[in-house]
Amino acid sequence: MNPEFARNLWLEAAPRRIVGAGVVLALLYGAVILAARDSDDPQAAIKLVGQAGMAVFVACGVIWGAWAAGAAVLDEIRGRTWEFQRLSAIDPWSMTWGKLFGATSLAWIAAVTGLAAVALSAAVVRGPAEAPRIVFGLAALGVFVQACAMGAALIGVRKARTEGRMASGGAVVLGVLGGLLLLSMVSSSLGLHGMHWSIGALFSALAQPPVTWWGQEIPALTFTSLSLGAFAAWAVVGAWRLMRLELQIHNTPWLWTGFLVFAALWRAGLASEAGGPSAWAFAAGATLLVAAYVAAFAEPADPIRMRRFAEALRSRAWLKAADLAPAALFAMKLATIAMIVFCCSPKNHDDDALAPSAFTALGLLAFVIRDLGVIALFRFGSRPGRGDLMAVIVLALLYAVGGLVGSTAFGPAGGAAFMPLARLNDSGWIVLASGVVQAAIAWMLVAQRLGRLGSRRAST
Amino acid sequence: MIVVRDVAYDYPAARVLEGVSFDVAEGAVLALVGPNGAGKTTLMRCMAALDTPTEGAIRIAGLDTQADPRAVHAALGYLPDFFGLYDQLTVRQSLIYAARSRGVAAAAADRAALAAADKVQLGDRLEARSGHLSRGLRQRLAIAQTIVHGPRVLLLDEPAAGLDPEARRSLSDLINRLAAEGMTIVVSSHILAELEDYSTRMLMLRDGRVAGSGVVAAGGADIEADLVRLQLAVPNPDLGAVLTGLGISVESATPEEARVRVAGGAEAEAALLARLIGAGLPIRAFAPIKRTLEQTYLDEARRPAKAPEGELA
Repeated sequence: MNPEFARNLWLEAAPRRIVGAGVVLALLYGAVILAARDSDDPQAAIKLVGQAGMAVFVACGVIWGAWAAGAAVLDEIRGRTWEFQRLSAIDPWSMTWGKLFGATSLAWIAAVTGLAAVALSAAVVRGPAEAPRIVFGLAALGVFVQACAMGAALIGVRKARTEGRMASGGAVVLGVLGGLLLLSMVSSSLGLHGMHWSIGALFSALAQPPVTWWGQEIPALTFTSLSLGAFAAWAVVGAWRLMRLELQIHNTPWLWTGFLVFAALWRAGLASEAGGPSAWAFAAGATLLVAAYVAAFAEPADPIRMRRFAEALRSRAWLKAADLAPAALFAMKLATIAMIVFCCSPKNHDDDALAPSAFTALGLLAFVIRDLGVIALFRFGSRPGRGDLMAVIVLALLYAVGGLVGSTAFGPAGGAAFMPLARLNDSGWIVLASGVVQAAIAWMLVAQRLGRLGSRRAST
Repeated sequence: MIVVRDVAYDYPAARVLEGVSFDVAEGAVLALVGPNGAGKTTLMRCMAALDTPTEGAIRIAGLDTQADPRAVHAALGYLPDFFGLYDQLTVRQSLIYAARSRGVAAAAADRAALAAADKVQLGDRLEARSGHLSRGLRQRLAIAQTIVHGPRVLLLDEPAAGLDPEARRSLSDLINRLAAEGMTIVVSSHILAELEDYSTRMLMLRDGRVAGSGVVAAGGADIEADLVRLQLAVPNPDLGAVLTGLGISVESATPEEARVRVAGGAEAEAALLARLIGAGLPIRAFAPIKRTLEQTYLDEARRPAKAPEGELA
């Protein structure tokens, strides 16, 4: 057996703990059945058991499981056992799944009772056809959130090491929130507003019309479950790739590129069919730009790696440069391609009134490049531990205050020079010109800062 | 067994290792010494393939730490200065996990765990929880976890920090036993007294560079070639002159004691002692002088750094 999985089982799923969890769950389900005793609805008990099962799954499979998966890494840091693990002969994949499913083993044992209750309830109330899809979707959701939490913890560990501090649980919280945000984007695409981030999305999907994806009509529940399954698989792959880095194994960028392509195609498939290639390209490009922001914040700000990257570029060692390149660069490359496709495609403005002009689309690209420059500027500063927060504050100020000042002084066009999303359909050349100038300034400042870091290092 | 060539390591704002080169022969016990902040821990982490040097290369047991870090991990044991244990696991579970996680087959893991526990004299505490062990016993368990897979190279970073004298003695005995089994050991410390008992070679780091002549004989276990200290039961103000008159080369002399030079090993020393007694000197003590690690350290600290093309152990 995978030794990491076995160790986690020793700690988490000790017989005494399993018995304790079993007693608590038996009391819970028993109380629910008793509560439905006096109801006139013959299905009241099974419905209540289903709801209780859902609550148990959310509490155990999602919340507890995510916490346990993140703690599987962070507890090693706190307990000073992480270096011992990094030195082990356990391969990254075994380490990943050993922690992911070992540290969450007791949570999963409890969550599975919830899944069983939900499946039973769904089978009785809605018919047996939907139960497997609901169970699959929920299980995928649990794995997705847990893998996001572990990935976030691993990102936090890498960033903390680069910044010379100890990793905290904040990274896990941010990771889970990031995962839920992604989930929100997934379900909001399906029009499940209000509760789209929650488990309820699966049940809401039952009542939703079919989803049109790349022209194919797919039942909403099927689409949601399969999408969750796919994203859960990518989340596990992401955790594995991050574990490889922790175990000192180099990653090539191709799997990351694969995920970007997948995410772009998945989102593009949900774009308006009538909008045609321009709508698909814009949806894909927007998804890739979001991925660029996530990557820019997730990677450690490592000036040594940047220097090696620059050296590899200078010596035209392209494969080495690709290995050392910031992850955001790949998202930006693909986003640029998507935006060029968008600019070159015929537009159907009647169908998509919010579609930006070609100038605005390229301007958006320039603004994201500026934002990446601002993020780099603060994260390579003298206090990298505060770089993320400072970058977020400065970006918010640039957009909000810049937009306000611009619109007050120069009207709508002035506002568009700082808030490109405010006016998608006109002022395109202003957005583009402003974005290009601001991006150039931001990256000049970054180059100066990296140069100063290099000279400071050389003088010590 | 260990080859380090031109290693440099950068933190974002400073270079902490620069041009570090040295070799360590198989079976040596190398004392890695230097003041706080000299770069000892960073060098050890690079040797353990936990951190990647900015420049240079390191080979452990023939394996490149950058090209094949996982094989290096399997070939060595590394105990960092601040380590943790799984407090909820028993000693037996901790050692079985350590063995399995370091590639020992499931069928052999229990035997390897018992052997490691015996080596560190924890065989009678296998069912105790790690969290219930004293600091000295935790240190022993940590070392047992580090050696459970039979590594060829062992790296110990400040292993005696915080240990009481008895636990330090026990640690010294353990390192001597492991060295006798042929393990190549590198021990980092800035407390020279704790390295005295077992080091055979010494490497000094200062400001991230190799100081002095690189890897040198530690001296701790070796008797200095030809110096003997003698003490008199009754002080003699003319002791230096008396000894010189006997044709003995005197390094230093006071009325109570003298340091004299004698070549020829144990037999020559015995003959010298007989001559001194024959000359009527009231000899109270007569002992060859050991060159201490501290003396070696101070000598190396005074010596200019060697050009970083490598040292031979």
